[in-house]
Amino acid sequence: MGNIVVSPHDKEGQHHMMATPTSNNPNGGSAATAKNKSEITVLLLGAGESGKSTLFKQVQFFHGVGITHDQERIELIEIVRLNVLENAKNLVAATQHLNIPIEQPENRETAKLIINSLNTNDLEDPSWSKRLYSLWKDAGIQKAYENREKFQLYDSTEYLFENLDRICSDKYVPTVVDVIRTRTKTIGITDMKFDVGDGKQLRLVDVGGQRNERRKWIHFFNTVDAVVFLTSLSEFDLNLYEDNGYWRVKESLRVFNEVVNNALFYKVPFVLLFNKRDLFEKKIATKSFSKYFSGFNEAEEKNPVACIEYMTKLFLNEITEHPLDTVSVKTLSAIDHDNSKQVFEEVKQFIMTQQHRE
Amino acid sequence: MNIELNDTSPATVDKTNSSNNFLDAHNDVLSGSSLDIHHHPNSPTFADHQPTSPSSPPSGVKYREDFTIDIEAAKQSASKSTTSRSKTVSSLKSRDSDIIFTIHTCVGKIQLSKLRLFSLVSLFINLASFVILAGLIIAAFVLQDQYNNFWEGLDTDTTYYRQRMISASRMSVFSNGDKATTKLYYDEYVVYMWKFSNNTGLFKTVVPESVRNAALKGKTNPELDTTKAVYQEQGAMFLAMAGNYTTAMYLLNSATYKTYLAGYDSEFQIMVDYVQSAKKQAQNVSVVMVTVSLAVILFSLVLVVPVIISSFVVSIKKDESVNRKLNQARTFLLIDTMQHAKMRQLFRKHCETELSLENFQLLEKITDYKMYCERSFEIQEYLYESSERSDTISDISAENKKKGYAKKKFNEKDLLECEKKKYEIAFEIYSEFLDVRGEKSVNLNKQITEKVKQHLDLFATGQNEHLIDSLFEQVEAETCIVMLDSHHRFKQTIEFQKQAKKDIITSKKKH
Repeated sequence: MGNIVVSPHDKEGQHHMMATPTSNNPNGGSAATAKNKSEITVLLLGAGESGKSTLFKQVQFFHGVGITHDQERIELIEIVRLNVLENAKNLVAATQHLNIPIEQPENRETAKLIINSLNTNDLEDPSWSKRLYSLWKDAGIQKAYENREKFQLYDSTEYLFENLDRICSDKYVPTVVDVIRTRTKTIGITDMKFDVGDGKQLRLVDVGGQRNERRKWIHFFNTVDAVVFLTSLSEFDLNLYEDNGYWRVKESLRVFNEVVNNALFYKVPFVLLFNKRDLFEKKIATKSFSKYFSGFNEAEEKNPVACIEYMTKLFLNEITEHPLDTVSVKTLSAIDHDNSKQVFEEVKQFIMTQQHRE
Repeated sequence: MNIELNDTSPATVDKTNSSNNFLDAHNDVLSGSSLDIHHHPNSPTFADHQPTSPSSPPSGVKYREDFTIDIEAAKQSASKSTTSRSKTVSSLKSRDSDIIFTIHTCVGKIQLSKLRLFSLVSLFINLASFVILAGLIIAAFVLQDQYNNFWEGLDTDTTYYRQRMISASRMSVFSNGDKATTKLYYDEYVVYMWKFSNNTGLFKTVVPESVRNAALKGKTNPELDTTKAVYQEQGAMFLAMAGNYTTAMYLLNSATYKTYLAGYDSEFQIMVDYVQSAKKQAQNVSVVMVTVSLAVILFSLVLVVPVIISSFVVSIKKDESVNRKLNQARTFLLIDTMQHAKMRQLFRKHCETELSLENFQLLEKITDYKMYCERSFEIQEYLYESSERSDTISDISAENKKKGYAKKKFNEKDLLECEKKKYEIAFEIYSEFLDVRGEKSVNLNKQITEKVKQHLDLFATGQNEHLIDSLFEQVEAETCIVMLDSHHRFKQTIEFQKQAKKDIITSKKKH
């Protein structure tokens, strides 16, 4: 692998890195070039909870499909409320697991109901908004939340609890942001198509990221024209959902290595997106980054740019069989509509440029 | 012993997972019996599961409840099914309570809710307004028609015609001897004379006799000054046309002629004024009619528009509320889909397309497992009651008949077989769907799958006699939650919409 040229981050915090190629891969099998194809297939890959489906939903939203319509979002009420319940249950379970008592007696009663009988229909009752919010503000629950790296919790927990007054209402219709921030494990493969000009269509394929879902990715490896690999910056202190003893960063690096060095992707444009920048910046303000990366300078651990550069090097070092001039690295906050739009536009341009080059 | 094992056999799995105690013990558990462990390619689907026991409730009903409970349990909300159903009932009740007025008719009862009554009132006000308007328009039309018939052929220009006659005669006579001009104005004179005569002739029929008598004062037509003046004008024009202009001019300048001309005001002007005022009156009646019509329209608009707007707003609100209820109901459609034979097949295809069929198949397998749990419970219940009954032998026959056990008797072997079958299915579910190396491994948390594994270990090593009924409760819960997203996309497919439409049409036909 050759020298990595790291460009300075831009105003929006975008981090764009281009690597110079060192050698041609003799085993360079590749998916067919898409120059003359009317459809460009872009695969969103990455480990579980890296934000593939969030970006997919944002792209759907830019193109006026799916969740743009009230009707579609109404049908997702159940999923939003299930997220609230899941988070509440996980937090209550965490207080027991971490031996942190819930302080207020009425909150302990609420916790019992959450574990034993509360269901999504109950959340139509506005009184649950107050009870759940009171539980959320309980010192015990807050303490458990501060230690959330020790158990599984959705990133949107705080957002959902802060919006309980809307969610716990019989007139509740999820907003686009609610849907974007709702966590649903993706199973199988879903896709969408949209025009990108020149009579071409871009087919964006979203996949599940957990281990068992990855075996399905291969169905697209032969036809893919570009790969967008997402990894979560904020997962540096977390373990896997499917295997709680396994560090997420390690898993993400392993998956990235397998994908980027796959011979089928040799000539395929590759975009590495470091997602959840917003959460990451919040997290490093309170958590130690260097604790998880022995090679990282501790003095720089509160500097997000330095942390991201370090992460970037970690990932790019995994590339051994892919020409580096076809790899682009960016940061993203997929829950941010404008940022997603801007980054996706850049990704699209990069892919199109790469194809024209071919 | 003949044990046929496929790729999910313990031996195969053993190689990949040496830590699986229950897998080590698997063959021991199965020893002494001839069993086939296979994938059940034609494994029964949800609706296909029909308990064979005669003591069981009707299969469809029983299974439906079972599945509902399972799905609800799967969402860790055991009361959801009840809640949603009770909601439907309460919504029906609330719909009943909306009815404030009932009319009994020969063809049945008409029940009026507030909204319906409101709309009906609006309809009546509309109808009444239209009737009033129609009456006014008809009256205006009849009156206008009568006036038109009455004044047919008569206009209010009689005096004008007479003035044109006088001027034409003078122009004809005083034409400086130009015969062509004389002839031209004579012709004009004839035209206006015809019009004047027509009007004055009609006076006889339209002008009341009292007015006519006051004007004509009993004179006959030839005695009237106007008639005499007309004769003199005609005579003068004839003279002019014969070339005798001097005499003709003399006639029209004579004092006698002027006296005759003055007679018009007293003889005809009264009648002309009468006709003009009568015509004006008719016009006034039309104006009144139109004004009243406009007033009625305005009145009805003032009343009806708010009613229409209110009805519209109420309808929209009602629609919104109904839509919301429908949409909330839609969130449970995963259950409905799984219970609906055709929908289930379509959903299966959809899952296949999205490469997520394993979740669907897992739910089917769990249903298989639960079916055997039911059967196991049935056998245990029989065996327990059988031992109880041994004390009261005299009653046993009647009791058996009553409970439907007359034809079916279970023994300990049946229970053992059933438990083995449960284990087979549970093992198959674990090795195929829950183990991360499984052929159809699903997206589940390791903690959940570990719990299942522990139960299987305990059973395989003989520490537990039975596998618990709720063994896959959490697995099912997670799978259902995960499938909600996939199901949501399924609902957007044309196939789903088509089938839903078909169902609606079929249910409408039935009703």
